[in-house]
Amino acid sequence: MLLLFVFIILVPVGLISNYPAWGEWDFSYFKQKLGFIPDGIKNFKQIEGILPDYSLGDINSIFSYYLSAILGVILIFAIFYLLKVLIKHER
Amino acid sequence: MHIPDGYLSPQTYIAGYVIGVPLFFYGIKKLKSVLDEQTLPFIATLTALSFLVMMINIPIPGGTSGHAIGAAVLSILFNPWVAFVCISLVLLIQALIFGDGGITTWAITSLGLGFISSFSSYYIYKLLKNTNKNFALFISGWVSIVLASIFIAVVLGIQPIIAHDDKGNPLFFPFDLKITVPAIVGAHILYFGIIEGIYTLLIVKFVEKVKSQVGIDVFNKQV
Repeated sequence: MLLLFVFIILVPVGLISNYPAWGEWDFSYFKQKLGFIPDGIKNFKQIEGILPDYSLGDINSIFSYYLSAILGVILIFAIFYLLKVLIKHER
Repeated sequence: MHIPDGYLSPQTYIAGYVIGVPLFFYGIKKLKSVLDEQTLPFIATLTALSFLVMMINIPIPGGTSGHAIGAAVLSILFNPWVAFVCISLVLLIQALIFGDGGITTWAITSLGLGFISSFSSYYIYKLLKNTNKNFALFISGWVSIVLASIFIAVVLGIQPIIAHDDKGNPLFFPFDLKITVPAIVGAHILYFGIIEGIYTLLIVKFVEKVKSQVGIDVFNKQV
């Protein structure tokens, strides 16, 4: 638990870098490097999720990053709780 | 290494699902056999920690960034099936809720970041643990992420060969192996492998200390 707390506090460190991971670029990157966007990439309807890129509209990015971190942790614990209930039920 | 949707040809991601989904369900069975009152809080916490550590993007020279995964920790403390399923769950949440990594590409990403890294770190640790424990933990973490990066680099790098139009223009990920392997694997050998190694070393040591303090001798870790 202490560990989780420490890491949640550390999470905004991840915002320092403006650069995406290699191979996780926007469309503009392909346009700039290749002169075109490969059809398969261009035509695929990207699924954005509820909090795309861990951000929420115009809300301060550090705050929304924290919010995303907490939401993710809660979801993971919820899944394990459900697993626990399921196992109890099976036994 | 979270491959976005649209980067992989259907041949690739369908193959990924065909291989990945049965392994995932088998892994859930294994996870359920390990989960008990003692292990559940640790496994859930370490899974959440993996999610957080993947949010901590660390910039490196060359205009990119990356992060640790945390598969080796779960694999060494419990077993590789547990680590594979937990990392896959994290990747699923990242894709569905945060748009980080694709849905079609989920199985391929899980096989790389989950399956390959979990099983490689488990066996490397088993092989080396009688030498120097700290060294074994660090190397297991390093190897796990480097092997995962090789898998992802190869999957991305073969896309221009698998799918292109009549004029030879790639339909999906456009760069070939000559570019993907040095870029992805190189960064993981030099930077993210070291981060994963340190993370594995520190977290495994920490969990073992906590475990002995709360009076747990050994985890239920049936493989």
